[in-house]
Amino acid sequence: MLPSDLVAQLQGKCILVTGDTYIDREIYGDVLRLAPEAPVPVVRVKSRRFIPGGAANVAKNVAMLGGRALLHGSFGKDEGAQQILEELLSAGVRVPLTLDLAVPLLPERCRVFAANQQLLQLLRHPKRESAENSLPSLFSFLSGQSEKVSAVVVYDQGYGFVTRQLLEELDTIVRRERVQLIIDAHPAHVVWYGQASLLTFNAEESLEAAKRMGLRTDSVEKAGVYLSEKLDSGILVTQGGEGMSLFPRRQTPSRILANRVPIADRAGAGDSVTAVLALGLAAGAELRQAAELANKAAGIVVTKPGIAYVRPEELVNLFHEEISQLLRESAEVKQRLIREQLPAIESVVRAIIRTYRESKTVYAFGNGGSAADANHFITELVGRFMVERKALPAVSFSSNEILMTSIANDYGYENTFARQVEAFVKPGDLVAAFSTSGKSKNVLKALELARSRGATTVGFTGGAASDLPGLCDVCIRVPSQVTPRIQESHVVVVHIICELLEKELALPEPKFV
Amino acid sequence: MIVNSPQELLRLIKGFSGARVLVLGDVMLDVYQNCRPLGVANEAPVPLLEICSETSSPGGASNVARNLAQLGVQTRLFGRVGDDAAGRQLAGDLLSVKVDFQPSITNAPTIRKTRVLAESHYYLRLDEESVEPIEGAELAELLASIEAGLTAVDAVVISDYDKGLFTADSLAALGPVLDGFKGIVLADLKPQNLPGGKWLDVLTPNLGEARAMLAQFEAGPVEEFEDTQVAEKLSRALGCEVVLTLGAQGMVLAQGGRLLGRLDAFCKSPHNSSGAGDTVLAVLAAALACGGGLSEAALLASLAASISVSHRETHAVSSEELVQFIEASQEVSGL
Repeated sequence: MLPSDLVAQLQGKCILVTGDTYIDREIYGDVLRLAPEAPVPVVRVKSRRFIPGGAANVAKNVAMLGGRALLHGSFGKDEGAQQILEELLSAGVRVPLTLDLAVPLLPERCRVFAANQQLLQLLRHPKRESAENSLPSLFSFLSGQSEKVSAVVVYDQGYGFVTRQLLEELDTIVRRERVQLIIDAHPAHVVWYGQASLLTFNAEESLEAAKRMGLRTDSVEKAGVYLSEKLDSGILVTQGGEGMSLFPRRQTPSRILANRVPIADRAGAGDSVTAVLALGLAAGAELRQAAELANKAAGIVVTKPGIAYVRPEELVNLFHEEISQLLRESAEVKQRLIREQLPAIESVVRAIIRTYRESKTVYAFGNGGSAADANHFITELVGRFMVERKALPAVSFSSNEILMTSIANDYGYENTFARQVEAFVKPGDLVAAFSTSGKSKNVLKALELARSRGATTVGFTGGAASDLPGLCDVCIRVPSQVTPRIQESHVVVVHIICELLEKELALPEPKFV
Repeated sequence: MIVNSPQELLRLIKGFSGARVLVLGDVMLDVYQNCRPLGVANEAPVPLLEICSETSSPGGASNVARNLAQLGVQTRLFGRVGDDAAGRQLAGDLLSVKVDFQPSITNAPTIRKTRVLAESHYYLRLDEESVEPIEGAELAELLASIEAGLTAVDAVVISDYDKGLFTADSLAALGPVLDGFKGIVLADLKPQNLPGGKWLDVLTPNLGEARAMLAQFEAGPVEEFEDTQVAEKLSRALGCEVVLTLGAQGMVLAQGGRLLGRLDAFCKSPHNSSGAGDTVLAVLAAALACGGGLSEAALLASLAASISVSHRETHAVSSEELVQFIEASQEVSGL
């Protein structure tokens, strides 16, 4: 499944999100003076923002990505709760529960900014029992819902919404409904968790969780493998700027590197990752594929300041960006050809013109993709490039598979081209050898023989070639180590040679009878 | 130097419970967030604090009223609050300290100053306010309430924090209402809000404010004047008594353009000076309202201020504390 197809598959999947909901409050102001009573900054508050946090923000991410989000959470009637509730509803999150309470129910994380610089963070927890008692059982919650849930996310920050009882209920539901279970895990609760599709931790939490399960280690790799075995679940450890480590259930672990992007801040990235993972698994993606998409989503969120979200079209655009990047890399190699290889290309054109002026023949060869390039070159010469003209004598040693297999069978593969050189090449002929590595034995051997027989030798190779250039009268070395980038440049050079050649020879048009 | 006997001062304090004072001013809620430091936040290198408890107390003019009530004075307060949680909290806090708060509800939110404290380390202050000058029907309604209230009080205290209640217009309208008042009018006003008219009896500026006020009457620069000269000249220019508060340097009193004397501060190393000005204003008002003279009122105020600044949080001094403090001193030196 192409990543863009996966993005399409996420649409409309229904995700139930439960766990700790809290309020992210942002206070923006300016500091123009110190307090008269003591030398501390006075932040004059200019605006405030309430943002859904925790489970609520995962739900909002799901909705923003095109999924259907169902939030199992409670909201009181205090100002902060009402504001985030409005925001959730307008984002399309379904929130069936509100309570008629004036007292704050939700924990709050407040960030104070002055002139766009964060000054401090303030956490506030309401009375513990109010949070626990306010959440109804999942059974009764789900019985009122008509929609088919494909995955459940448990967001556990240790604020008190996630209890043993809730997890037991979940276990029953997950088994009965056969849905994916994704736990944004809290290390202190790791002994409560049953089997899940995926548990996510940050690096520090993974070490703490492993410790609580009986393994002291400072290696995330060891902790991940251990947790995956102990919990018989997939484990994902997010590592900020270093990307993430994936420990699939009963499979080999792997690393996913973070995209190199200019970072505003990491706020909200973890919630986007959780939402994409849940939607991805709900859509039937492999864990690795869902994690790679989640990693890309994180790469988008971190470029936006503050709590931010990802839209499906941004994920699709990201794949276009990947394509653009490859095109840019290819173009960059060609830019370097302009700077470094003009004299070499000119020399090759000169050598071929001389060969044809002396009525000699051009031969070409190479292996695999280079064989195709050799054939391409020969085809342009024997056939026609851009103008009508008479045919030019040119032969590819890579195109006769019966001959190739016969020589390889009887004399060994390294003689496949040398044997043909021996049969055809005469003094004054030109042989063009294509090898991106410059190390293919059959190519090197053929060049050596051709040279000893008085032929002009031309090489098409890459930046890392060592032996090949020494066997060539002229060598075009594409300044790259990447095979496809080298081959793309060989094709461009072949076209340039043919175009200049046709101009220079100014051959008369063939006469048709 | 006049020495007030402790007995004279104690007699004055006894009278506080019979005094009736009306406070008019900019009210606000002071919030204290007592936090536990958790370390550094993981998304940015800034302190991460957990709020363990949150307390609030009346601030600005409402702190003056709270101080009066603590002294035993029957206190009524006029001020503006928003229809919000902070406003309700302030009303509740004032009710619990027995201030008769008559709020006028405005569209602007209640002014709130939140002090973030981590293990008694003062970290920063968050100020939420929007200053909207009072005018039109709101002003007319307030003036009518004041006029009705004046018949039953011995003193009026004006406490100006420049939050919109006192403007050139509102003071001009207030003048005629106060002109007929038989009691004493004390004011702590910002320099830009100096009143015309004869209704003001006692003004309590600090030195900076007093110089800025004086500059409005003097042709030349006022920076060269000694504090005593500033008090004298201001008293002459405004035709009122001036209690010039100087923080740790005490206070200077002037009456009818003449220096009445200087009063040293009793506490030389204060813990927390916030609210001390409100305490001074309240004690002055209470003492003058029960017929005390300016010098003994100022002496009591100075004693109360020294008690107030020895507390970490803004503290309203009670009449009992004041009595204990005086009894603990053998003899209190005054003017």
